[in-house]
Amino acid sequence: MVNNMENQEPIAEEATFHNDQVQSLNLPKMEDVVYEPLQPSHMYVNLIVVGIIFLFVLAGVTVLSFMVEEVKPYFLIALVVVLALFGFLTLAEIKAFKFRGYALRSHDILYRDGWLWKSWMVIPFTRIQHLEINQGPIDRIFDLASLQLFTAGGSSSDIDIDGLTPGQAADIKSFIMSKNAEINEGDVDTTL
Amino acid sequence: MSTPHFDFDSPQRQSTIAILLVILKTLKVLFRQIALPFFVFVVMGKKGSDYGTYFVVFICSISFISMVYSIINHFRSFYYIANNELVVHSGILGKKKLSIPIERIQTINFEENLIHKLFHVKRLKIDTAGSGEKELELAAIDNPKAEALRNILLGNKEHSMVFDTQMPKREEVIFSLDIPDLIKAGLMENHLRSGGLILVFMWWIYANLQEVGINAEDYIEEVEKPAFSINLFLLGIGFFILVSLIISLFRTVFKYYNLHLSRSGNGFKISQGLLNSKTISALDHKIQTVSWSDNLLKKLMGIHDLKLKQASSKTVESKESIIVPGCSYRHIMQICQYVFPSWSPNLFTFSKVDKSYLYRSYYFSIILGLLAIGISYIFKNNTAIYGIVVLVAFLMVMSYLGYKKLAYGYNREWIHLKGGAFGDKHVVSPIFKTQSLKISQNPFQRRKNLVNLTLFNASGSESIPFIPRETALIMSNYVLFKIEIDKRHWM
Repeated sequence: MVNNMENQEPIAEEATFHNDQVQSLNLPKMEDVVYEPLQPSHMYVNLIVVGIIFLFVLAGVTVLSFMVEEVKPYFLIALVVVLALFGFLTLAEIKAFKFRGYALRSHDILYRDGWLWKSWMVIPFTRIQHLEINQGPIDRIFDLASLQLFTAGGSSSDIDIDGLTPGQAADIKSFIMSKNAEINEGDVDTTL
Repeated sequence: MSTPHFDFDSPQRQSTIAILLVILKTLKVLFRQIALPFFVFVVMGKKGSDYGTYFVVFICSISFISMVYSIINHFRSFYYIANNELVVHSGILGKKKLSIPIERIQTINFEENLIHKLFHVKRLKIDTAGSGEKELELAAIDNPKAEALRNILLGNKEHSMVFDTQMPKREEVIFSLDIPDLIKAGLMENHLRSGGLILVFMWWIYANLQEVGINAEDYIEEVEKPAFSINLFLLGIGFFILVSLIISLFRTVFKYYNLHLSRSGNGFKISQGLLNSKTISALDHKIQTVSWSDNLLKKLMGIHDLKLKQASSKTVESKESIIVPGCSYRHIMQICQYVFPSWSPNLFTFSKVDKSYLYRSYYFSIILGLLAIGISYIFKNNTAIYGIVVLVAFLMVMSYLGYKKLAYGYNREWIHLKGGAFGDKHVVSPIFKTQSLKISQNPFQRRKNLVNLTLFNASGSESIPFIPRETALIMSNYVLFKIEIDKRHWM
């Protein structure tokens, strides 16, 4: 049954079907794909954002320590905590950037992200409701764009690829649209 | 039933009953806001502070302005159908035009409360799937007009919406709740939840009293403090249980009174409710998951709550689900036969998730408990420690039962998840309706090469935690393959 899975008749006959573990050895493997990295300037933008937030927090802690007498003795501890947090966030962004990437197959798009907490997402092209290319003011300075893929599965099931060049984003978008047009040409069965 | 002809090409206005509804709604909101201060100031004879009086005046004027605005808005708003779009104009200062392409309309539901029933009008709710920003509500439309509008809107759909419109009315009631069933279902509800509602309500009163400038604690101190005794404690618990029971009973009866689940064409229709009756329709192909669950009490009585979740925009998700309380196992199987004809409960071999899932819950409970004990120790509250120990033990028992029941099975067509702690829960979903999938891994799972797998569909998501990475990949690869070769409509 492993090999002829593709040739099986649709569900009508399956009520009598009594095997259940699917051995999908011959199916395309999502673990085999090679992920394409994103633009390094994307990492720098993220690091700059972390840095700016850090400066604000640092300023806040310092001002508070010199204004409020009770907080003063804890200034050093607070400083260490803030610095440690900043170091951790910087490291997390650098590590995550190395892992972050997307991959296109002929039927779906994959995206992975994370360092300690890793995640892999896959959306088949046929399930994409619409695509959006965004470019914010900071993106424009660094010549970056982001591609958002929306599904009907709610916001947590969407993919948001930051750190593409505008050209890449447009290419991926048109690739997905042309693939979807190709897929939709086939007959659609409306049973069930 | 022959529907009279209405010309929806020309602008139509809602029924004038809408004005009455606006007035009543304003009064209701107003009542909610000022009932408590009013009670305190007038009934209890306490002289209101200036702050309290201003508060009441402020709320009243805001309500009045919004009411006048809504009434003017009623005369300024109209709807019509043009170029295959339902167009609604409204607004006084800023004009608003909302148009929905008819083929994007997913569900059309009717709702009636007491006023609607009295004046033979219906509230029409129109929902489109996908992005959540396009929902539309027409507060009051005359019954025959509402029916006609629904028929037109649904009639235009090529393959899906034949249900209840072009089909001759041949409805077969497949499940209904009579009064004894209803009471049974109400008594078997989760009373802890009702109890929680009471607590929230009490907190709400307390917070509101403070808002109008009354410190409830002053009054509490006026009451003579009774000596703490075990009898009083038990009495309190007994009272709490009784009130919770009555509340859940009332909630169930009001919500599910006269519930009829009927089958017509290729869909289901459910109508229910005592004061606010509600009709929800669901077409088979739009149903994404079927789930049923019970709790300890319901399990003893052999009844379950059945839920048919259908695709809809996220903001209205829960309202679009068909929930049938008090179903027997036989009824569930019967309904499943309609929705998922090829599904059967014995098609699956179930696998368990990794044991470290249980250990993680244990660690969390213990760490939480130790923290709480530490805090109690600092505040020298020794009686609290006993409570915390009991709570942690309870959490651990629940985790254990939850882990024992958690299992997943799948075949070429379906995915079936089992869960629950004291009760049981089942979720069945066709694999091809999956929208996207996610594999995630935290640092603690990495050592054992475990991952979590989440499958998203158009009505929510199902997660399988702590399974071997290889298993998750085999499943994912199959799910993707299935989505990509299956040409059936998922919605």
